[in-house]
Amino acid sequence: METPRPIRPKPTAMSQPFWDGARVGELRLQCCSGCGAHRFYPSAGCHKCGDDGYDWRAVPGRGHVYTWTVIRRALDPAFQARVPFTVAVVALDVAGRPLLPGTMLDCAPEDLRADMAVDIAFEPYDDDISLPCWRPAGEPEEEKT
Amino acid sequence: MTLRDKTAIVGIGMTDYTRNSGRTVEALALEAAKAAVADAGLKTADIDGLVTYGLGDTISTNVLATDLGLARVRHYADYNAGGNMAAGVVTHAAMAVASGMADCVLVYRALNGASGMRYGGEAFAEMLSRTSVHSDAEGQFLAPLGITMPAQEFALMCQRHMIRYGTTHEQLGTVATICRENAQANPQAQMHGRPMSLDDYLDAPWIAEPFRIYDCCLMTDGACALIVTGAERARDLARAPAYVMAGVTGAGPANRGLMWGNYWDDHASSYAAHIKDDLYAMAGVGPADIDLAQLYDCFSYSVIAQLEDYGFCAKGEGGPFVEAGGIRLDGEIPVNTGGGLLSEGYIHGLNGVVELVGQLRGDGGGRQVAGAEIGMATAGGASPNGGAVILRN
Repeated sequence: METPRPIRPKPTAMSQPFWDGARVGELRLQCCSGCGAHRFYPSAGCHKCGDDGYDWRAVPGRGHVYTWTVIRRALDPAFQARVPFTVAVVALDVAGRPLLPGTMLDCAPEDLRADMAVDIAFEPYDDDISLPCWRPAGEPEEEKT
Repeated sequence: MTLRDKTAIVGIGMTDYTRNSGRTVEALALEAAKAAVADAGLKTADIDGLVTYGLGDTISTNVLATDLGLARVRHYADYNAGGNMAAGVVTHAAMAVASGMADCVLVYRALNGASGMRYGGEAFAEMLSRTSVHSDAEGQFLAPLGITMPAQEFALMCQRHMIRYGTTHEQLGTVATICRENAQANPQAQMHGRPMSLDDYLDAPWIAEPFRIYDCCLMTDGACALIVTGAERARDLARAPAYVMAGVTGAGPANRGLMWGNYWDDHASSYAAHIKDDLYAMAGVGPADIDLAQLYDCFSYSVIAQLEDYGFCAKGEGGPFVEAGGIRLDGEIPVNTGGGLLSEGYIHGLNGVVELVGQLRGDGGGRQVAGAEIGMATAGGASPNGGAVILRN
């Protein structure tokens, strides 16, 4: 039987630049023209200052673990097939310290720590969409299991 | 101009709370509404306003008004909202009555939450995307990671509280077991007759860490309703009025998000920190004057966040406060006396208001809080938007 696939993100006119960046392995965020804060999710106005001007910028995909959940039961069969897995919300090391949720890779739940440094990775979903993931910082690709 | 003491809750009604009603949401709503009218000693025709809320799973005010045979509706509101509006609907009704828009407002919530649309299931995800209750962001940035259930979103908040304040699993479990204990004295509760120890709690399966299954509220088929009228009229009706001292529905900064909010500045705090000053000022009381509280407990953690943010204990001290027995029936602030959403049933928080009215009437039976005069019922899990009412007898 074919393994059910997770929900596919539907990019919007607002979010398309993020997904365009993700496809080529680059983290792109809105940067507020008013206060300089980066933000995520993509949104029409800045939640810190209310300014509606922004431009998209590529930023380093480094951050620190803010919180997480280890999912051990899912209603969606695509995710029930994967349990247990961890979703980590990471505070990015850029102005505004925006949070970015992603699947935690290469880290057993018991090894996960608050404020742990992590690097972003983008896992292809299909030709157009890649999903943000996190890995413990500084571990070379080839060492992953 | 203040809302304080202008109105009162004069009638309450409910259906059985079950896992499978075998009935329509419409029929459940009508039964609860008629029970509330009868309890108040009113006639159906006295109802001239209706307020409800839900996530596409309640029954509209126009359907219920028709089923009640009302000749005229002077005011109505149908909120497309979750449990953070469970107190706001009462505040809305009180505002409508106090401003003369209606005389008797029926507030209700009806749902087949167990046999119908389950929160976290596919129909729920589809409903959220269809109705834009969430923004488009949750569907793009959470669902593809597997974050589709309320338990997962609140788990992220609870974990943050654990990181900042050292809150423990045993403290979460103590919330769950105290609610369960209270339910043993509440024949209406789904968990009546099913006691639970802390060991039972700790042995139960994980859902989304740090939550085990008994950190999560029940799924329920049922309805409850209440009637708000003016304070003067309230004095001549069948039951002792529960006067509305205060009602606030509000939010903190960057409160976008129905559950997990990716913009908030502090995920270990809740809406309560932002509304409590207005709430207590309107009521003219402080937390020390509150005799009991029905704290919206979609998850065990929600109780801890609200205990802190309403000022029943210091920030970060919610876990130890619970562990020391602070929320038991004989504790400093008895909480969720009927079992709450965790053990009475999930009528989306409105059942907490109904339980509070019963307590203020002295009808709590084996779970009655001695000398209950002023109580609070809240709405909102641990997110920065929500509300509360303070009632007195």
